[in-house]
Amino acid sequence: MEKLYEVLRGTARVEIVGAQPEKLLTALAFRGVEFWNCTPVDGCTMRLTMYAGNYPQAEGLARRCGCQVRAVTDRGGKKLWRMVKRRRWLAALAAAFAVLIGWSSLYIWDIGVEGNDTVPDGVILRALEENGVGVGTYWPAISNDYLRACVLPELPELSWLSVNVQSSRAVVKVRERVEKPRLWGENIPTNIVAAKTGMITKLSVLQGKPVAGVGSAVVEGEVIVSGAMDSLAGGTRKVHALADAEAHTLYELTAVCPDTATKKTQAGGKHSRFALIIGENRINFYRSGRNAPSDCDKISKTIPLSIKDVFTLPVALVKETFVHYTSAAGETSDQERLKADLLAELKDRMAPNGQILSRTYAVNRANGLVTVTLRAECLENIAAEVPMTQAEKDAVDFANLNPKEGKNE
Amino acid sequence: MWKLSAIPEEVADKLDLPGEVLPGVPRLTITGRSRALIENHGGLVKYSEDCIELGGKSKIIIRGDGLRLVAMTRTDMVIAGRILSAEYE
Repeated sequence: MEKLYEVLRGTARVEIVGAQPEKLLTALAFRGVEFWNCTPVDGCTMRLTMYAGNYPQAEGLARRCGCQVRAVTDRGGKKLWRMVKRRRWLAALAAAFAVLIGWSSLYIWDIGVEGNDTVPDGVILRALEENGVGVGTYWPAISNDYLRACVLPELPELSWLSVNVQSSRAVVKVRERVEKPRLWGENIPTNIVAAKTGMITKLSVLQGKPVAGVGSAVVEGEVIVSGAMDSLAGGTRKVHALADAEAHTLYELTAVCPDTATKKTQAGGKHSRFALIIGENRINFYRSGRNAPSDCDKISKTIPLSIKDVFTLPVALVKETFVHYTSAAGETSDQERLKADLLAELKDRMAPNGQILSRTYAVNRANGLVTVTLRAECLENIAAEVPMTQAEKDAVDFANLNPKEGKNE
Repeated sequence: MWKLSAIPEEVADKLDLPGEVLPGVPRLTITGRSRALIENHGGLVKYSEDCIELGGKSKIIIRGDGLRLVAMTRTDMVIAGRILSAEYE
């Protein structure tokens, strides 16, 4: 936009020659004459760019500062107008283009969505389209309040939505609803159970009655620290057990991929074809169908007729390039990728701050398949809080009410 | 010894006022080592590719390689190039 303004106003590259060209630069700056791209040529010569209209003022100032100025080149401005005057059709074309841009800027030609992580763009755009906002919509008629009232009940995952239009491009900004965190009440009787099967190496109990100890092997779901705790006043009381249980755990993860895979090799030949998209209509400049020929990679590139943040028109040129390839079966080299995937999966499954003590990979090829197995020994916290079941709570209450029966049992 | 020109700075110092509110006090902002913005400059005294000298109350000398005056207005000046030092005189 700045460049366009410069071209319309006209700029001149000016050379200053004198004993002290700096004096002229200071004078220009203090008189409010804009200049830029000032480069020294030698001790007595400098070159700078200024608006062509300011050149006479610069000449006057140069005389006072004991310098000489000379326009090296000029572009745009009067030169451009002279050219337009000679070619009337060019002026008519420019005017028509300006009118087209002015008219098209009142409509939405491109929509983007920002701020969504879980709700897909397509779902939001479909909901907007159902409520009258899509490509080709007259944007001054859009009411954000109305849209929010219509779209938010349809998409309960969103808490807020706004449509901002800038030069025919609508940006839909959304905020996703934040789920309420799951709160664990201190008064809810809770057991600590093993989240994974393993052997406990360290147990630190802050509250509750330990059922397993260091060196115990526990299976997934087994209670490590019970929320039913002996009370000093006699009987049993229900508490929210708190503990950390560090344990050695074993993992065995397997991934399988085919032994051989088809590999593409570029054959060398390639050809392109073009199409024009106007609004929602497509004009193909080729005869065959839209499907790519076999044994070809299709690379599509859409070039919209727009200048970023200035204007967007509903016209785009599509270039489809077909690159021919030959395919041949070859041995797959995906083992390393599988190993990396398995390691990533292991890290996902491990508790936060867990350590991998040792790991081994086994690769087996059979029946046209490659099987990669990861066996790992880890050290991690396996304690998981699980609220006591109603039966457990009832058992504690019953034991408190009938201490003798409870003891006999 | 007291200088008349130093009175505003002394007063601003005593009153804990920011220096930029005083007239004619240059403000130099250097971004990385390739761009400098000088506000409230006192005009250009010397300009070459390795040294740019600015006038005013306190002279500022910027030394470097390939220095270039990107833009200059009545109050602001932008210098680009490889800046090696900024000195006050």
